[in-house]
Amino acid sequence: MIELGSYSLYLCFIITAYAAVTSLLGVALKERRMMDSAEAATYGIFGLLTITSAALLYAFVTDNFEIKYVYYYSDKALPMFYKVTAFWAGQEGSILLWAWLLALFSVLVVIQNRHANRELMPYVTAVLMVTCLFFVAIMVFVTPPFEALFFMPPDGKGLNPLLQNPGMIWHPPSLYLGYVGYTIPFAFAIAALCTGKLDDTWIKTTRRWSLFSWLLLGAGIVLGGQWAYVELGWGGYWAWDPVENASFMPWLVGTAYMHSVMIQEKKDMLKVWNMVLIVLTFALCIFGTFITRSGIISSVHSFGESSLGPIFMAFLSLILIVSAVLLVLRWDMLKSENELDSLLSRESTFLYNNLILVAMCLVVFVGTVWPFVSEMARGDKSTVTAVYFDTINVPIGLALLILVGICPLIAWRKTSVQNLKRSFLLPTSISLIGGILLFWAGIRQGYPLVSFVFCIFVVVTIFTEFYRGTNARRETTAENALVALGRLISKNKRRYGGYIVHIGIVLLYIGITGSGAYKIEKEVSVSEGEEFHIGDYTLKYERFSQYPTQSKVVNVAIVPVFKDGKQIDTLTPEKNVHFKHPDQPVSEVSIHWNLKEDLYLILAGFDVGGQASFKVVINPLMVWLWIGGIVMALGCIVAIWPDKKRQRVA
Amino acid sequence: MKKKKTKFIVGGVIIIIAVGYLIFTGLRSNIIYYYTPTEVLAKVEDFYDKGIRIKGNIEDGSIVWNDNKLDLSFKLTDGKQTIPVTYHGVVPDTFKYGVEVVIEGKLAADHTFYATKLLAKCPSKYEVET
Repeated sequence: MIELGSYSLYLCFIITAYAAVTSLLGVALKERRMMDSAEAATYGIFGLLTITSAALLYAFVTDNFEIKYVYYYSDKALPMFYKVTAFWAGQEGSILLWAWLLALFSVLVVIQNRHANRELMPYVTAVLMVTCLFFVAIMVFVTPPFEALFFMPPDGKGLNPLLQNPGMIWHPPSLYLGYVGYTIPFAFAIAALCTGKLDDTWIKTTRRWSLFSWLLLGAGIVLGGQWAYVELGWGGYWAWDPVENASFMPWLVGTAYMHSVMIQEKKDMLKVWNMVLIVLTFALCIFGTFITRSGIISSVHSFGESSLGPIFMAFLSLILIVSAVLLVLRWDMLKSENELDSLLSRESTFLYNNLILVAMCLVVFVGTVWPFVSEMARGDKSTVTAVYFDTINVPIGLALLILVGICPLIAWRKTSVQNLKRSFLLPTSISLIGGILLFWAGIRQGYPLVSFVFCIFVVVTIFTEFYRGTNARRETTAENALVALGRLISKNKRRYGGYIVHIGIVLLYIGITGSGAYKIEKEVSVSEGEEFHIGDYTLKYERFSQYPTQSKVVNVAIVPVFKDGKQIDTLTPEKNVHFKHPDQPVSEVSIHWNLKEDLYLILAGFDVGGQASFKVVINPLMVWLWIGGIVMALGCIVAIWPDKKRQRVA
Repeated sequence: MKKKKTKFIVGGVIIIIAVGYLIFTGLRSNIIYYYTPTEVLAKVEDFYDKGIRIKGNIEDGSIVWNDNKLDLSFKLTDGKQTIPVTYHGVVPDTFKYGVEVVIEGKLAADHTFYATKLLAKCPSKYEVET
């Protein structure tokens, strides 16, 4: 298996290098046959990377610990599920996954465009193949996945227990699908710049690819938050860790891109800006992969030592320099004759949305790289706390939220004050009444109150949109309300899919606001039989139980939960010691949840038969964050869904 | 036509300045500076009984827990120098040998560091140290 895997990887390197060189030469010499040959090579690359991946997977499944990577990330006792997912637990496998997905997407693009975009495709292939070559070269020269030990160890070192969570199968691949997916619109953007075909063909062709990438990247981020929430056991879901930021930044810029391309399609404007956004998105995807895989951002020293650091930096610079040069060369062609008419038009709300999203990304970027830059420049050592990210992003985030509500109220081109008054009346009055009620109910802190009021505003405007559209249909078609609503959405999937995503955003804000501003937490130390209180809940530490399983010793506290004198649940937080990792006890939190709040219990410490320490947290409205994520995903799927009569855009 | 453009440029500049200001003030008040064990031990008298932060890695095999897993001691190292540390409180799951942590507390006369806060780095890298 080692031989099969590494030989197919070497062969793949040769073919990828061939494809990259011929595609570049092909476009330089305008040699059709070379371009075609490069396109055909994608099939071979995909086949070989599939064999390579299958070989690595087989090695994991059959416990082939002679392979270093398998030895470090798996062991015999590991359940099959985690043996499979251990594939992407480390650097080598993650990069293989990246390359394999890229090869798969390249093949799909080649098939999709076999009769379309013939002018763009040679350049698209060239960009895809150069990117692919980068990742394959890393596997061949820097982090070979099939590196062998010189003996067969009896057992592996085992997978980090924190990675032994069902989230492991969804979260990393979802992120990677998003990262890799953005390569496609980027490749078409570069192709458009090279060929000078700068109309919106490249945007329309890759619209579904960008939506798909946005969806998967966003889903990956939310799944990562969920994983952190249930597995890392500190009571939160987001800590502005560099790795989290790394996935958040391309998502922010990708969101800006998704909005601004609509302006180019509608008004033939913002061409340069769209190019900049997609280049940035892709560069941030590479940057994200790089931070996640090397962990270098925390220290200059590990950057110097990490063999990956400089290579990634070089590739990033290549992307940025080539893109910048192309942009400058095409500057005149990208200029638009049209101008924005008014600060108060729907176009401008798109522009504000873009500025806010990019500003947010900048804030996160500065906070993420600051320790690195400051150590390089001044030699002092520092970290940026989560407070930095929170204090800045909360007001920016609120401005973004209210824009979501304002946008549908403003007409394209120009709005008269008269019109504004009329359309703002209903949402403003309802949200003000809502605000007064909330204030009366005890929501009196500034930011949370503003956030909830904005949420109401957005919901009202979006529902008005749905209501108006449905009514208009009913008047002309005599359909009943549900049919009319369904047809309304399916006839304008992009628009109403977008509105559904916005509803998801509102739910997300509700969850973030509730759990962020009204979190209650408490640490207690109690004996068996003793009770403790938090919020309306009474918890009783009934007993402690300890038993071994095949891979670990389970330490579990049995804690019934009472509310209003009645028992409503029994929580069973665990703190387990894995035999392979005795120095790293793993908490399994226990959560009692409903639509109003999560009661979250962590077993922090214990004496067998004696005292136990708990950290107990109430996260209000927490579940809405996850529901919001699901609604966003559904809305995005609606927007991606192909129309029945397939027009050949692609 | 020109006037419209100016309007947008002015708006853009205002936004850029506002964001720049937010970043600047945000950074200024939320950066944590820290020392390394080597720096601290080189000038013990300067750091004695002062609230400081130290960053280092947890030395292999140095973690000693008491029974209830709430009191512990360990050694913090930067590869050259090592400081013994004691701590009381909830410890994150990611706290284990080799992991990088920032700790906040005071250095006592016996050169032991009494940590009041463990700012363990989140597990940015779920990898084996090879």
